[in-house]
Amino acid sequence: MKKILLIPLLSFFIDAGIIKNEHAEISIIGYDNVINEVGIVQLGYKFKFTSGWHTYWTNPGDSGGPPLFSYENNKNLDVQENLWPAPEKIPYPPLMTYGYKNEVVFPFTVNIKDLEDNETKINVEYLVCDEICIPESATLSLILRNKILNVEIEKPLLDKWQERVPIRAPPEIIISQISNEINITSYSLKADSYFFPDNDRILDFSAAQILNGNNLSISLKDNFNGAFKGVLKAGNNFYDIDETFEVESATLANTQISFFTAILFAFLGGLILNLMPCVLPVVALKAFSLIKNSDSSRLSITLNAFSYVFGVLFTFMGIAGLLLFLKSSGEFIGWGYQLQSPPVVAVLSTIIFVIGLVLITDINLGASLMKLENINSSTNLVSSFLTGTLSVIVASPCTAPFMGAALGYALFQTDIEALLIFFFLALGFALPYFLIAIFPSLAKALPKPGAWMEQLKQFFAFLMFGAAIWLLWVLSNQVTSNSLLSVMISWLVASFLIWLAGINLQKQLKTLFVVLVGGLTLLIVDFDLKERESIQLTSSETWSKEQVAVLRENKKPYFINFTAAWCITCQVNEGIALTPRVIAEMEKKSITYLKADWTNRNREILDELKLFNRTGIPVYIFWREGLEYPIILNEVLTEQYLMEIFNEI
Amino acid sequence: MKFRILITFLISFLSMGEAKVDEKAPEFSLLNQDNERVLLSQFKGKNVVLEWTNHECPFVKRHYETNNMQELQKNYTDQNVVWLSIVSSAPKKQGFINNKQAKELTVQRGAHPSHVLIDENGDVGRLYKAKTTPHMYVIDGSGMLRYNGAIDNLGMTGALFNTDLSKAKNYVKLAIDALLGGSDVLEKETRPYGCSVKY
Repeated sequence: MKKILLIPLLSFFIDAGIIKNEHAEISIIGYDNVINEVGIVQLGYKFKFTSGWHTYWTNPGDSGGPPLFSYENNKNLDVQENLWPAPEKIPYPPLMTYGYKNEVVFPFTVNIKDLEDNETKINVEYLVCDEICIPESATLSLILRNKILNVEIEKPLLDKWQERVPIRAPPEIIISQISNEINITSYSLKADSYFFPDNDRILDFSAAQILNGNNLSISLKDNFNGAFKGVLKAGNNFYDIDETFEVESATLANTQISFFTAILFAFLGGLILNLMPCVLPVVALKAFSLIKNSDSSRLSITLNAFSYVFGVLFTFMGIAGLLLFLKSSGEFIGWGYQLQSPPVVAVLSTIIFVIGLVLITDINLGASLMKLENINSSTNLVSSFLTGTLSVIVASPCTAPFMGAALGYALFQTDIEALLIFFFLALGFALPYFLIAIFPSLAKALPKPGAWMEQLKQFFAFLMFGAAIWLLWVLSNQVTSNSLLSVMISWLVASFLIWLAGINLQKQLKTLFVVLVGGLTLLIVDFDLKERESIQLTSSETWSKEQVAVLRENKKPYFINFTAAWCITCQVNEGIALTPRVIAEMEKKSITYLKADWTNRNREILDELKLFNRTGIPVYIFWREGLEYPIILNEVLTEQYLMEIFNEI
Repeated sequence: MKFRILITFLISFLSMGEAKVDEKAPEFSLLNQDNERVLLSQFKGKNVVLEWTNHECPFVKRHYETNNMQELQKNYTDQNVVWLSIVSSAPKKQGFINNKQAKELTVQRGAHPSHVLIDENGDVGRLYKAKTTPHMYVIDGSGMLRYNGAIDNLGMTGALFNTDLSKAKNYVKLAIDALLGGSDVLEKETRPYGCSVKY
């Protein structure tokens, strides 16, 4: 690299300092070189490259890098940051780069605050490339002597590049997002129009940008973070574009699972869901009714099984629709997090408790959902449909711990993809009955009916009671003890009503009792569930962003436990791994134990989880001095694993 | 856990042919410096580093002249990590080498790759969407791609050529150390920098 600095020939004439490197000549140009008053002067760094060679824009594209300018701090000859004229596309298939071929001028200004002789130095590091790339550097001197600046006067050239500096986009340009595409609509778009993205998280540089009429469509990358920033070439104009879109989705989706994987998970998850303790009894009832009626006509078996399948599909799609509606109206909640809502938990626990009672007492609740005999009547198609609905409803607390990930993913997708994922979940859930519907002879292959069915049914009741107790415990972490009492009273009332239905009494009297008891309950019991204040556990502190910042500042190690009462895995981990021994170890090593309790909805916690690319819990975080980033620990903890981690200190 | 096996199988089937972080790294087969065929799958059970390289690229040169790349190679191949240096330059383009030259270059630079692989038609480079030299990938023992991006945080021009490379935040190092230590790679994707791959 040769650096040739031409020495001024005469003391009052200053030659422009042109630097001649192997592949580039660099100089400073301006509109005038005579400086008569202090103020801001427009200048430009001119690069003239070996024919066909280029350097890069601020975003170089797939390879390369922009020139870097650095200046001495000179208060009286104060050089400001340079501007970036719009680049051109320099493709190297399959790659795409953005830069300037043959020549470029980067306009900049200098603030002259004093007319005395002065000098400031500007260092520039740049790459100059054709097929191959060479890094070069230069030191330019901007000299003011006898009120003359040592710049070349090149007015048209400076004007030409000033015009390429992007300006604010006129309101006529409309930018909109449709799923993973951005549409730029403007009458000024031409065939060579192109959007130069500001960074690598917007689009695939080498992807074609398609102009269709007045509409330039751009495919977004998976990890698009919502900031649509860059320069639009529209005809001979260049506009600054800086739009922000809502895409909680894309950033998260990228780090999780692919769409097809999610569909697969949803399908398998749905199938497995049939075996969950709260669901098994309900679906088993359906199976029993099929067994009992396996002698009936193929058509009626098919119809019943289909009704059930439709009930399942319909309910799942209904729930999915509701969630998407909530999402579109801004109330963002994830699947499984419905258990963060105390009324939902209260109602679910009561339903499950009642199902348990029905199972163990074998009471015929008249025209209720549970009537499962007499498969031939058309009301039973409705009943099959409603059984489908019921099994989805009782399944919902089970999906939370087991399928949060797949369904959480679904909610971050476009509506159509989300609905598809839910559809496959429903399909998996209904698969056994779907098969029976298609091959009615399968029903005959099921075991023969008998007394075992009655006993199994009663046994299933205990699964339901277990599930109900779990939900009640979840609720106990959410609401005050008075509110919990209201829920338990409603259990009492429900069991009384079921007993009432079973005894031998006049119909009118029964109705009277139902009205009386029901009315009294509604009057006396306060169903407005009050959220409980969160209770401080002695061994841990409540997590907050500020607390973490303070700990990091003081280089104090910390362990964060993102947990919730409704998260079974979290509870298991706390039971078997966060033992007194481990907690004592934490105290010994002065590790601050922070607990982020997500039992109730909490935006701050959700945002923090997203930083770790998680949307569900459990998540365990550990940090100690020397680690640049906190470590995300395994989701399944053991005592030994934690001891090993803490022993690193 | 038959389900798990089934799921794993189906996922790997679905993700075939695309290099995505936290998904199965696509299989490839190339000839090495001794003209022997090397398959990615033969290293199952070991962590594998893919280094896209072009010995004439100034960015690559900087990493070799400062001994930065050789030290990484030595350090990790000693720890049973497989290091594959891949050359995707097309014949007659910058950085193209035949297997004999590959051997010479390794000796000359004191490098320690497990294999130097010649990808003269650029198929593997395109499969992995390798953009620059250097462009680094880290694959774990189960064949999952765990890192894709730059070697360190000294992207763009000035910083790389003026900074002590040992002071940089080396993403590849962080990724392999995490895998060797049995934890998750925190930074899984960064923007690669350097010369374009000369396809």
